[in-house]
Amino acid sequence: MSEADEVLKLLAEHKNVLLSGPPGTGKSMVLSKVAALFSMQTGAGNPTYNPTTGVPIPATPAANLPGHINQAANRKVFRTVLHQSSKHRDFFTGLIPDARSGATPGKFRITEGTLYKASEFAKQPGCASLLIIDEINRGPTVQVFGGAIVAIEPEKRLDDSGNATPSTQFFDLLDPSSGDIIEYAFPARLYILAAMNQADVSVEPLDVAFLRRWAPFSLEPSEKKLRDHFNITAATSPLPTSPSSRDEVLEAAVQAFSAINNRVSLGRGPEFQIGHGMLMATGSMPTTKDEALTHVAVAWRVIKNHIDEAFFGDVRGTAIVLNADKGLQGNPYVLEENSFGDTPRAQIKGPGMISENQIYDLLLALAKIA
Amino acid sequence: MNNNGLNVIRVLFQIIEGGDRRKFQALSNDSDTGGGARDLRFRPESEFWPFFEKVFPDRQTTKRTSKGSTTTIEVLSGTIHWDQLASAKHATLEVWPATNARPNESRFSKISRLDMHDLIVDDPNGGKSIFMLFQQQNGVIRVHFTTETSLRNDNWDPTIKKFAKEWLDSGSKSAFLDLVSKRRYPNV
Repeated sequence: MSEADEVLKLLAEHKNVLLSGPPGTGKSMVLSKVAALFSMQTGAGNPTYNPTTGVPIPATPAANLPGHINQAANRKVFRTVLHQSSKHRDFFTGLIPDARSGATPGKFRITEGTLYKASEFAKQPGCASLLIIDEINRGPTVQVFGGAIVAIEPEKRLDDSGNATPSTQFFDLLDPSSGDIIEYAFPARLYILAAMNQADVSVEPLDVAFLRRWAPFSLEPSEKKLRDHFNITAATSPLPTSPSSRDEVLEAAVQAFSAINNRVSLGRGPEFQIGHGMLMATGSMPTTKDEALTHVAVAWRVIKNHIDEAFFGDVRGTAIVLNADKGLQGNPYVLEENSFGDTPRAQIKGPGMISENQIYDLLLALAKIA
Repeated sequence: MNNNGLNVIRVLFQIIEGGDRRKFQALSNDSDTGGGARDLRFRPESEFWPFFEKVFPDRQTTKRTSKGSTTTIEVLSGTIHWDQLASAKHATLEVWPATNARPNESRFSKISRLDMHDLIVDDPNGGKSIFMLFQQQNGVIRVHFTTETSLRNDNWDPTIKKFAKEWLDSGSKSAFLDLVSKRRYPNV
C-alpha cells in the first residue's frame, strides 16, 4: 500500500490526519497524491450523468477509496497554507472591510474562509471535501481554530445525513447569509489533512490538546527510496577509493546520507534528519559517473546548509556530523582547535563549495561510522 | 460502467446574456436579443446544425414563407428533460434552421413555453450564466443551468471541465462537444 493510500485510509477512519516528517521526506508529494486520489481528476472513464450530485456530470469517482469517502460521488479538494498572519476569519467566517470593486466605501462584508467553504461543500448530498492545510505549525494554529477545535473530532461531527447526534459539538459562527451568530457543526464527510515540518525552529510546538485530535502519519528518511529512485542495489563490499561507475558514486551518496542522519538524529533529534528528497531533487537523473558526481555535489550544498542551520552555533556538533573531528584522509572539512586570547575556540576549516573532484572523497569520509 | 445509458455523449453550452433571459420569459423583441422573442439562437449554423441533427431524433418537413416565396424546411425535435422544484419535467423542443433574415443561425424555438427562466443561475462571482443541454447514450436529452464559476471550479468530469474552460476563454457565445465523433466548436 502506498503512503498516499495509507493516508486516505487514515482519513476515512479518523477524519483528521497530521502528516509530519523532516524536510525532503516527500510530504508535499504525498499531499498531491492524496488530493489526486480523493478527487480522482484523472480523466478516466466516460462522462456520466449523475442525478444525485450538484454537478450533473461529475468526475468519475474512484471505485476503491476507503470508507465513506467512496460513497460520495462529488468530491472536492480545498487547499490553504497557514502562516504567521493567518486569522480565524481566514478559516471560518468574519467581518472585513468590503474593498471589492464597486462596493460602497466604509462597508463591511462577511468572509467565507477555507474551512467553512469545505464544510459547506461537504454538507451537500453526495458530496465530500478534503481540506489540505500545509505548514500547520507555522501560524497561530490554536487561535485560528478557536472554539471549533473540539468540533473537528470525528465523533463530534454531524451524522452522515447531516443530523446532530447526542455527541455533536456545536460552536458559534458568524453566518455569512444572515449575519447572525449561529450554532454550527462540521459534517461527517469533511476530511482534514494537515502537514508540518517539525524541524522548523522558528515556530512554537503545537499544544497537546490540539495534537490529540489528529491521527499522526510520519514520513521518515529512506535509503530504500533513494536506491529505488536511482535504480541501484545496496553494495555488499566496501566502497572503492575511486569510483568507476555512476552506481558507485550514488551508492556512496546513499551510505553518506544514512551515516549523516544517524549522527544528526543523535546530536539534534530525528526531526532534523535530511530527507531523501534532498538527494533526489537536483535536476534530471544522472546516467554517467561524471553526471552523478555533479548531481551529488549540487545536492550536497543543500544538505550542508541544512546541517549548518540545524546545528547553528554548535561548531563541535557540526564537526561531528561532518566527521571533521576524526582527521579522516580525503575529508575536505577539518575541525581545528584554536584560541582567541585565553579562550579556546573550535573552527571547521573547509571549502565554501565542494567541487565534483572533491565530492566522492567527502562521501567516503561522511559514510564512515566510527 | 454499469449504467452505460447514462454516459454523456454530446454536450451543448450557451452563455445566457440579458436578452436571452428575456427570451426565456417571452419578454424580448428588441434588437439586443437578435430579434425573435422566444428563440435561442446558435451560430454558425454550418457547425451547429450537423450537431443538432445527431442530438434531436425527430424530423418533420414544413413550409416556410418569407418575402412571398415559400420553401420546404426540415425541423428537428426531441423530448428534453429537466428537474424543477424537485420534480422531473419534460417537453418537446424544436430546432429550426436559419431564416433568410438571419442566415447561418439555428434556433431553439419558443423556449419561453418551457417556463424554465427561474432555473437560470446567477454567477456568484460575476461570471457568465450558462445554459447546458446534453445527450446521454440512451438518447435522453437533458437541460441544466449552471455558471462559469461552477464549470471552472466544481467537480465536473475532467473532459467536460477542460472543454468548458477552453470555450469560455475563447470568447465564443455557444459551444458543443461531440464525444463520439470528437467534433467540437469552437475548435480551440
